[in-house]
Amino acid sequence: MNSDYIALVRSKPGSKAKRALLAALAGVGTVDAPAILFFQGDGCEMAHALAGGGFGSIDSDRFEPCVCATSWARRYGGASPPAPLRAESLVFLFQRLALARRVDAFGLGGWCCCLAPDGSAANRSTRLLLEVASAPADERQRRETLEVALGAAALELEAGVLFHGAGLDHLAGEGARGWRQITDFGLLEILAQDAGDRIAPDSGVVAVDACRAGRLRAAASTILLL
Amino acid sequence: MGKQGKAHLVVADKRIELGPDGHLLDPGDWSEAVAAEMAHQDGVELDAARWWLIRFVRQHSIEYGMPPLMRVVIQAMRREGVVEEPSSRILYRLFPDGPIREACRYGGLPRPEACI
Repeated sequence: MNSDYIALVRSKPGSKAKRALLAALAGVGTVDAPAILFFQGDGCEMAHALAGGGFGSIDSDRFEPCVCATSWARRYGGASPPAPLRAESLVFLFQRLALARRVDAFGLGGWCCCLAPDGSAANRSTRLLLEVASAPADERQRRETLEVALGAAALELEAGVLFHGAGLDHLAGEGARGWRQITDFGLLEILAQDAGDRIAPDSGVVAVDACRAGRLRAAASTILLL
Repeated sequence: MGKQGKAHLVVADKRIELGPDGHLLDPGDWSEAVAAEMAHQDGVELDAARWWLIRFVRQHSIEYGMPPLMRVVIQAMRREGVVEEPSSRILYRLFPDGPIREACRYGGLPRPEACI
């Protein structure tokens, strides 16, 4: 059965992020199958904290909490996550994402919600927009943001990655080389909003202004704020 | 340890240590002779297509800091005419235990960690 709702959680377990997540989940109705909570990157720390408290007010019958296997292993080693958490791949996330009617993303740079226009996943367009609006705090965070994009690229999804504000730092310096494989091999469209001279001309990154970025958002069926 | 359970190799009188997953403990120990000895121990013949894959995965990892997606390998194989009609099935014929992972192992790279 396909879930009507998926939440991608990448935010750290601060009280504000946790409150936002719990508030969103309280308003989620499940029809056919339990909703999926996918914790990736620093979101695994949120999952760990929630699991330690028995997930508190989250009704485990209504939600299937999954953690990104790689992000979890980086933080907590090779052992399986404790129940009710389950380790899954990014491929699992993107396969389920395409079928959900509501997608919430609790990213490092904020929160966003996408609904299928008439409430049915079948009428969604397929365009996925990954937005990166916060600078990487460290190399691990940079890598785990890139891995989300590579997950979409691996499945050959029609997707773009839009960097703006502090998120442009991902494309700067030595750490940017991981993103370069995406443009060198044409895996996804990489766009930078109002980047000025922060993007190398030969990087393959498409410079866009706020107006075009707005049009990209409007055209996207799903936006994941990473 | 290697596939055959060995914890080390000896190549040109040098002892090369392997980790529990069969990857080199020190990537600096890698050479094509080391790759050939690993494959010999595993009973694998490194033909032209397998060597191409090992070298491509190594070069990609050096350039981008991580091994390539399968999609990228297939694209490059097609462009360079390595095999006729490259596909993931062809890649799995080269290394049935996982083409990228095995190319990393023979290429002296750490085990890929991403779950993509």
